Amino acid sequence: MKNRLKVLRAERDWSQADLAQRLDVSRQSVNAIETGKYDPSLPLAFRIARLFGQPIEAIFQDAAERQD
Amino acid sequence: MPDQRRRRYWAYLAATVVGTLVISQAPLVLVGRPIVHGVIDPARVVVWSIAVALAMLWAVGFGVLMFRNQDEFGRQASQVGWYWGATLGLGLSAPIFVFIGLGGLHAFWPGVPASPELKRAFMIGYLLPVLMQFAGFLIVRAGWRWSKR
Repeated sequence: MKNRLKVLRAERDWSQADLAQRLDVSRQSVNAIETGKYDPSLPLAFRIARLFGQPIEAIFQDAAERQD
Repeated sequence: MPDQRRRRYWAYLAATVVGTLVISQAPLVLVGRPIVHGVIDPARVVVWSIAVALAMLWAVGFGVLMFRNQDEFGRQASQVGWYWGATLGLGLSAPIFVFIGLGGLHAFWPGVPASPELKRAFMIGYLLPVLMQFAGFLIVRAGWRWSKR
């Protein structure tokens, strides 16, 4: 699953550790999500969306959806 | 991993190791060794078994705390590791089990003792954790599915 986490984080000038602290997860989690190697659970996806003040679908994009 | 979570992890790990060792070895102080002058003392064997059961309860309890302390990424890593790692380990152990069970050690190194009693003890020793692990897997999986009805 593709996402805009890295872009949103960079816009706020946050490091992966900063974002991890805000989400109460490990930095490795943030890195794995950003690189698309790990899809977060719905609760974590909602936390991310709330943190950036955007709807989930504006941050996460399903690979199949992008091909449409 | 945020600092607080990391500190809790190490505290739980230390408590797990120290507590498990203390509880499982407590019978040494309380009743002594289970075998005295080559004779097995049934009462002491029971005490040692109960102590190990309590130690395992302690270890599992803190194992649960350690698991819950992780974030979801860490939990998934643990689940994948235990599921596939344990499966891989079991798979690798099967040919070793057959080799030793059929007397391979004695065949290649005659100095290694071999007898029907040893063979039986080895087979029970191998199969007990394997079967218990498989039973645990089935029970937890069924319980999980039941809880999600």
